[in-house]
This record gives sequence, structure tokens and C-alpha cells, in this order.
Amino acid sequence: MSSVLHEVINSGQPWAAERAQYALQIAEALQNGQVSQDEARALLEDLINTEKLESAGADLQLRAALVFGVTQVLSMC
Amino acid sequence: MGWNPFKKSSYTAVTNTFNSAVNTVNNAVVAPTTNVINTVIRETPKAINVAGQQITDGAGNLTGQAEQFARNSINSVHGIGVSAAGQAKIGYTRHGMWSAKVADAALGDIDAGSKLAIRAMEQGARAGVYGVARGGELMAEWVQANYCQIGVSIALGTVFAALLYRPEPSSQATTVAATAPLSATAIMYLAAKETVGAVALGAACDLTAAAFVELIWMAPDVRKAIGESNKQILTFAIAFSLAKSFDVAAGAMIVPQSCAAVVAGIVTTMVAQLACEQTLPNGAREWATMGASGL
Repeated sequence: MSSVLHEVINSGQPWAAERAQYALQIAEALQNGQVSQDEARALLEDLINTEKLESAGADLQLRAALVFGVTQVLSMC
Repeated sequence: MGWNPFKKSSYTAVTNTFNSAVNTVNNAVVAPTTNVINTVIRETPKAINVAGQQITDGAGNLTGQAEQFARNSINSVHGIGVSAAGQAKIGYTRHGMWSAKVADAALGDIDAGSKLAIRAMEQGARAGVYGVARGGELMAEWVQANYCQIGVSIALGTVFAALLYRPEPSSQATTVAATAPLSATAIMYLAAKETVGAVALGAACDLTAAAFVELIWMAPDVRKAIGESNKQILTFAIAFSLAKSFDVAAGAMIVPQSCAAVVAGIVTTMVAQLACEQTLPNGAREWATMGASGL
């Protein structure tokens, strides 16, 4: 589940690694009942909001890994 | 860290809780929950045999025969008849993808996806398209119809070239993540069609469509052509096309590489339809209110 996000974390690209880390945090928080599914979904969708990614890196593979890795977490909501 | 979603004002109440978890995040393990997609994955039967080919082994992993099964499914999609205009659009999509240097191995699968999108607009109970108000602005080079189709395909091909049939393990992992909901649902569908309810099918298609739309939104020219106001209806149209394709193309969706390429073909064709002709399949409107239960 989180292997793609861990790869993103290890990418050395802060703009992507930070978001991947937060995605895993949100997943953990959801698992522990610290946030509702609606809250988690809102936070996760915000992580891959393209408008906010626009000024970030141009590495398409890394963007794809982030978007789809976060989407996997979204599928839990 | 510079950017923190937990600092959003609506979630400040939980920020402190999360701060303590920062150092342990790399150890986070996501357990299965009760959502519909994970339920589908968890309940997928093992050692599935379809039409004499075993597509999953006893552990639920895809077998070598699964690849051939997917290939056969794609070949059957190639045999579906569509209008001459629809066939031309498939050709434009392929040309654009080829120009953008998408891997050769992906082109046939993209053709199949493109044909499935055309089929969703031309055939079945909800055949036809409806007009959509323009939400964006075409770049000057795309104003002529044929150039628009090819231009959209090149723009999206640039995005998909980084994802489809790439040899790097990291890219393959991304493809698996991208297609996990759809592939799991397709395997379940092939094993026992009647056990895949509209909610699970709809959730998988919605999630996949939303992720791919978010990905292609990275292409500035495409984003500008579609416009923010039409982003959601585009997502519905793609989700509808995916769901409508299950009866003939579920086999193509069980293998991540071919699944991703087929979805890319559907996405590209639907984006071009909206950007260049300002229409979408009739089923997209119904999907917006009823999801897969309207199929």
C-alpha cells in the first residue's frame, strides 16, 4: 500500500517527500480514529491538488507516484 | 517542513496529535479498512480460472496466463466496430501518443482504451453526446479540429510517457498503485460478476478517474482548454466510460501495465472530446447523480 509513497519520501525531492509523509500520517491517523474519513479525504485531496503542485517540481514520474500513492490511501476513505 | 496540510484552519484541532507522529511516519502501516474497494480486494477469490485460463494463483497473485488473458481481451476490443469518425479519433490519439514518445508497447492498449471511450459515446442504451459549455480556452494551434485532437493527445502523451510501460521498478510500482482499485475490481468481476455491486464498481471507477484527471491537470494547455468548471464533469465522463467498458474489457484491466494504458486511452479520448467538440457522453450526466447504479 505505502511502498510508492515510501519511494517518494526517499526521492530527495522535498516538495514530493513532504506530501508523501503527510499522506502516510493521515493514513495512520485514519487508522487510529484520530480523523474522520471525510476529514482524511479532504486532507488527502488537498495534498495532490494540482494548483498547489504547479509551482513544485516538474518530475512527471515523481508527480505520478505521489498522485497515485495518495490515491491509494484515498481508497481507504 | 515548509508546507503542512494539518495547518489548514479547519483541522488545527488535530495538529498537535499529528506532530508527535512525525518521527514514526516511515513505520506507518496502513491496515485494511471497511471501505468498499478494500472489501473487494479482500474478498477476491483465489486461484481464479476464467475461460480455461488461471489468472490468479492460490495466493491471489496474477499468473503468467493473466498477461495472455489481458492481451486476448484487448484484441477483442480491437474488433469492436465504431463509426468512421470515431475510428479517425482513435487514429489521432495514437498519432499524438506516438509523437509524444509513449512506449510502443502501450500504443495498442491505448487504441483499445480510445475505442472503449468511443463505444461509450456511440453504443448502448445511453448512446449519444450532449453539449457542454466551454469552460476554458483552446490554444491557437488547436482551433482546427484535427489539430486539436492531435494536440491534446500529444500534450497528454507527454504525461503518460512517463508512466506507461516504463522499465524502471519505481515507475512500475506507480502503475500498480494507479490501477490497484480497478484491477482488483476487474478480477472480482471476472470471478463472479454478480458479486460486484454498483457501489464497488462505481467507487473504483470514480477513484481511478479522479486520480488520472488530477495527473493530466499537470498539462497546462489541457487544463486551460478544459477549464476548472468542467473538471468534475470530465471526471464523471471518464468514470462512466470505465464502468461501461467492464462488460467487454475487464480482462484488459487485470494487469496493471495494460490497465493503465487502456485508462490512458479512455482519458485522452474523452479529454479531446470535451476540449475539441465541447461534448461528452450522455451517460456522464447520469453518472453525476446516480453513479454506476444508473448503468
